[in-house]
Amino acid sequence: MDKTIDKKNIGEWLLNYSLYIVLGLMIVVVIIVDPRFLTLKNITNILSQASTRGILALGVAGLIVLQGTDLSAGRILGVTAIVSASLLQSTTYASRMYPDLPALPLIVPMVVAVIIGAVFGLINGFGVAKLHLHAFIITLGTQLIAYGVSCIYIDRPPLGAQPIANFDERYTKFVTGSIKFGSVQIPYLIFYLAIVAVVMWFIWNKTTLGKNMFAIGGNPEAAAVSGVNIVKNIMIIFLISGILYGLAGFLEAGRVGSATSNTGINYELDAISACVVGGVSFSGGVGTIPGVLIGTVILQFINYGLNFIGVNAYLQYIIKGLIIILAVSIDVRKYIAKK
Amino acid sequence: MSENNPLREDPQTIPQPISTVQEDASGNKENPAPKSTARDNLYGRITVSKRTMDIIIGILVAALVVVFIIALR
Repeated sequence: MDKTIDKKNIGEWLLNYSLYIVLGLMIVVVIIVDPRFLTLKNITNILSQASTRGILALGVAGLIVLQGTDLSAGRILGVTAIVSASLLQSTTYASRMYPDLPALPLIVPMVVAVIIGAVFGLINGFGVAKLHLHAFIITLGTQLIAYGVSCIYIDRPPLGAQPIANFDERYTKFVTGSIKFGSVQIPYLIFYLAIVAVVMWFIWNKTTLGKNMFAIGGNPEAAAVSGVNIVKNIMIIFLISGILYGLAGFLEAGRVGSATSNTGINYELDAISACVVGGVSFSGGVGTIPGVLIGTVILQFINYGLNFIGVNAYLQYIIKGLIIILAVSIDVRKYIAKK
Repeated sequence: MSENNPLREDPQTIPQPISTVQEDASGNKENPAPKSTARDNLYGRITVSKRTMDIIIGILVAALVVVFIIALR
């Protein structure tokens, strides 16, 4: 009898954690195939790359907790990256987008990027909260709008749609700089992600807004009956997401060293995958900040690892797709068990 | 005397429990089906069993492993 229970428990555990087991094994295999993968430089590279995606994922996570999603996150990041980049080109660069623009303090482009992100976030939030549109549809629309805005902004005669590059040294240093601890260089980006994560953890766990968010995500009708202002809270969560996309866009342009109309393409899928892998449930009302961070880092490890050992790019798409479907299937199974 | 007792509650002022039983147009009483709301979540209408999901998860894990092995070759 006890053995049967044990077997059942082990089976449950294996099913619930099958994704992490497979992903862990994949990372181990990558290390076995090429042990150089496990160098400190690679790990800091992975964490650095995961930083902007992590900030994006933290924004998307709140919307998934609300039973929604955001397909516009990557494109909003793109438009904010382009605008930040155009305002922070080196004054000595001949082909500047704004030749007469003086060197701006870093805070100005950052605030502009955050405001653009916030406006898009508010549009999404208004569509979902006030017009009762499904988040999938409204964010699909804003995704296209953001892409159109990016293309119009970057396509300037006579040069046409040129990548925006040659940034002010202060900007490059602010984003790609690092602090040395002994022999270890820790990129600033990791600190920025950590700061955003702490702020978001506080909002999610220690504020009324966070509690309302989980209440609305878990059962919107019950939350409304309990006196929670659904419209206001959904709008604020979308606003926060937009602010995070703006911040991520500002950092992403500096990290990559240039910005084009394709910056941020498909980032929303990485962010949604990171959330689902990190245990944020599409059924709403479930999710943690550490989970989102772990999901982001695991997926970045897989991405980087597969590239590192030279796996075919097309197969990488299939692997990523299977990971997402598997993560959602496990989530559905948990939902059925809970029902 | 009892009719003049001010402590006696008027049956009309006693709040009656709200019945969930409703009458349709022909006067038949029946329990209405719960209405689905616009904010039903994506998993709200799942009809598959837990066992089916176990099998699907098993297939997906196997597929992921096979594709990864192919990718390594």
